[in-house]
Amino acid sequence: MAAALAEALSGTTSEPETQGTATEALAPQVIRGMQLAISPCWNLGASSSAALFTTVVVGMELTIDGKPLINSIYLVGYEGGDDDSAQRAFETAQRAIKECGAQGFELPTEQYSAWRNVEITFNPEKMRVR
Amino acid sequence: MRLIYFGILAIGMWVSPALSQNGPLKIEITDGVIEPLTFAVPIFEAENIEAAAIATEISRIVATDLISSGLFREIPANRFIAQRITFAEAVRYPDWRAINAQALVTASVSTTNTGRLTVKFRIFDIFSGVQLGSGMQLGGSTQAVRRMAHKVADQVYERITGEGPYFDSKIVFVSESGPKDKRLKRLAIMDFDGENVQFLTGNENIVLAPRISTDGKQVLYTSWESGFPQIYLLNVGTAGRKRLPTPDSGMAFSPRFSPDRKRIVYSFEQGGNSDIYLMDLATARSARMTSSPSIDTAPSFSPDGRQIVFESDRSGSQQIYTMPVSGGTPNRISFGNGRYGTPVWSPRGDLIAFTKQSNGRFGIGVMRTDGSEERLLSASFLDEGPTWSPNGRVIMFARETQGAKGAPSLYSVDITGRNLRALTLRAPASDPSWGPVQR
Repeated sequence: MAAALAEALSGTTSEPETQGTATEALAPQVIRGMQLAISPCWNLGASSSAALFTTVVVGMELTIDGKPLINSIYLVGYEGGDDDSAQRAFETAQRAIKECGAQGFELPTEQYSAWRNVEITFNPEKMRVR
Repeated sequence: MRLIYFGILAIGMWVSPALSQNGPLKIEITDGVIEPLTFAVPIFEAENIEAAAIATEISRIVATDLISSGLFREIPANRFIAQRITFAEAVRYPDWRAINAQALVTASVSTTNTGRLTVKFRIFDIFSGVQLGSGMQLGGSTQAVRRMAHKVADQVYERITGEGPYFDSKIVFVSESGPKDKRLKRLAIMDFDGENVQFLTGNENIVLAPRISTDGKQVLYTSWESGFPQIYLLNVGTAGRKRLPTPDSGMAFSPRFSPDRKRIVYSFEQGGNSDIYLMDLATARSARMTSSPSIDTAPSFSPDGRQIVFESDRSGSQQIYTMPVSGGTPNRISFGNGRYGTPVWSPRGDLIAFTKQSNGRFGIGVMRTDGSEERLLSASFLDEGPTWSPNGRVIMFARETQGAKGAPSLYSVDITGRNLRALTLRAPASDPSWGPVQR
């Protein structure tokens, strides 16, 4: 379990071992597109100081048209902060996913199996000094 | 909750062949936005006709409090799709999403002919389509409408941001009047938003640097009542005061309570040299904490009561030092260009706020308790005297304008450096000291 969290928290697009074969098949611009789609809705303006030191990993399932299945969104784990700040950071991340994913993310349907299940790491480190 | 989520993850990994073979797509988001969270506060529903005016007043105060934090932006009522929102009806999330409201607060207010006021309220996360937490209910007196509103705002603020509350708190300060060269000063106390100003002393004697206790019931301050500076202890409830027993052979000033209110630290000046002293309030005995041929002053306790932070010019320029209350060698923590003074330990214990003088300007800043990560939050002709909100998120200070007609007023700023705003008061004000959230 701890290994799974560590993997989730460390996993980015640069680690082939943790990406799996399905991710490797996705073009980098597809992943970048999803990052760019979520970022404008990840609003940390009302976050607590503690939440700005909490990285959360959020898992979810997407429908074939790229929309998040609302009841599938869950907190995989967190790093930094405590349970309370993790919960607030998770709520902020959920808001971003639901708001910017409402119309569906632009993803190649022919590769649905590669992006059907997603884990997103929301890392606020760069946002603390803005 | 974390264990439950981990359990879901573990089950998913074991029962899904697709997942176990390929794993989920992993992406990282490091760029977001920093904007106030948009919210809507429809006028609260009155359960009885006598409660209508109070319901309106409370809803406006709640909205104003949230806006004042700088973390929230209100969606005006003229953009609401439904013009009548009742407390009992189900929230129509699409209506609120359509006007980009991220949070919604609904409430109902009732009063009784015995003066009882009840507010029931709910908070909703619009884009997640859920109510945040359980519905809440607060009860009080119809004579304390503003306090009730601040309490509701505190609950909303706390639930959404995760920060502690601070709207239902009081601030002691020095209220000033008259020309700059003959300024009259008196102690006053007000709500956090500048309302309900009440005077605690007359203006016959100069008063300085009031410091409110951690329970909000007492104030330490320096007064010239005896002809030269001495420390006084004032009861906020009765406005009764007494001079604390410091020697007549020198000047006592800059007092501050320990977190448990059993002791105070203060400065005592004799023969041009001032040092820090610790007084046990039960025995009235003082013990000297520093001993150096320099000006040691402006002491402040850490929230655990084990250390103090103070300013000293022992190095040749005014800098900030920490030391254990039990004694020991002071440790200098400020090393930037300029002079540092009036350090105050954050109630969270993680930061120290200070006044910095550099290049002819004064500013308010914060640094870690080891002096690292120094940041300036404000700068002007004269910014000084920071005080922390009870949740450690906001700093209030005095800003004095330049010139013969210059006068001080109170400002607050978020510890991120955003949301610098002036407090609206009828008279010049200085030396704020922020009290605890009221019980």
